[in-house]
Amino acid sequence: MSNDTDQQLVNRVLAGNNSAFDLLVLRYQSRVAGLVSRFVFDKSEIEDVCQESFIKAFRAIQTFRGDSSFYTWLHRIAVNTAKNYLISRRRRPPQTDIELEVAETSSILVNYESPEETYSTAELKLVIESAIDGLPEDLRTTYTLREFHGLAYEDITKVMGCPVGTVRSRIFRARDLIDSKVKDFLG
Amino acid sequence: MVSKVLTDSEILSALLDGEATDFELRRVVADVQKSEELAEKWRRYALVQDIVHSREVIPSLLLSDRVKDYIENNRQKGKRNTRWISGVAKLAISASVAFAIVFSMPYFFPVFDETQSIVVNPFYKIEKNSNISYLELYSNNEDAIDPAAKKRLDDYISRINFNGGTTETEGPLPIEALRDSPLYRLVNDTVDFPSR
Repeated sequence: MSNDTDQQLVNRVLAGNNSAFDLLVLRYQSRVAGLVSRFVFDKSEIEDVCQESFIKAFRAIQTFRGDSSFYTWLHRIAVNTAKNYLISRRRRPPQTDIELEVAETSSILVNYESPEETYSTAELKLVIESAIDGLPEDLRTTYTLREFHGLAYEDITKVMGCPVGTVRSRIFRARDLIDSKVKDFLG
Repeated sequence: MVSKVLTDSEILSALLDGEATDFELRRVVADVQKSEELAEKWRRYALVQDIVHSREVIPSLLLSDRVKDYIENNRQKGKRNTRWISGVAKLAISASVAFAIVFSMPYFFPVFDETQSIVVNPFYKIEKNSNISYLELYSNNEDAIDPAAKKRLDDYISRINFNGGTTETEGPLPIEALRDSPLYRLVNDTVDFPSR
């Protein structure tokens, strides 16, 4: 379902609203950085490659046809950009591609050189888990059905026996409670 | 303002699940540009989603402003280029029009130099049956005309009969004269050429 959101945002960009691309950057920057960190290890290099990847994606957005998800397309651009970056620095890129599924299911602990960063990411995961555990029952169930089971709002209404507006509101409230903990943690 | 952020946050939550309407999306895209708080919230919502799905992330990386700056600069540059190109195009069109007008002017409004030997004198009034030489009409420089040529031209003009011949013949040439010609034949007549 969230692919629809990406497609909607891409459509907005294609219609000339560049601000919509900002939402795509905000959404995927941490994930693209995680992927790029498998190729380059210096923080400033990761930033440069990620920035270049998003700029390339922006420039080529007309070629995105929606055959795959936006992130799959972006993943390919980021991998190629990282490889080209290594070649331009006379460094050897990995022999095998990092497939999307491997990148998606791999450990959250990244090859990033800063141990503080790695530690902080693992710690953030604990904060989020604790926040989910602390949610009121109705919010936690609704949130879990959506986030972990991938049910659409309409399907959740059947499970929970409540209107779609309530489902939407409960998921939002759950997210907002988790977000307040994450915001405190990130400072 | 607080309720607006709250409403927008709910839209962002729905957007993350692909459950926001197109109208809501348009509204929230505009509002995120105005509110850094809202942009940060969207980034954190996405970050939490990545982490709960055990995706590899670097939470501290903030790229959005750099990419946004690049896009904005690119847009400005594009606008400047477009302005420059349209300026040059306008100038080229103006130059072409001016060129066409300047060079077509003599055809529509003939202007003659006083140094030219043949000009039309617009103030020269021609009296009916007057004995004025045509060369006089077209010349403001009498000395430049050869008197012998002038005489020949005047003689020729006085002999001209505009009914089809000269004053020396009586009226136009009769058609019978043509019919009597050995060369005359109707177009559908066949001709028997003598065999060689």
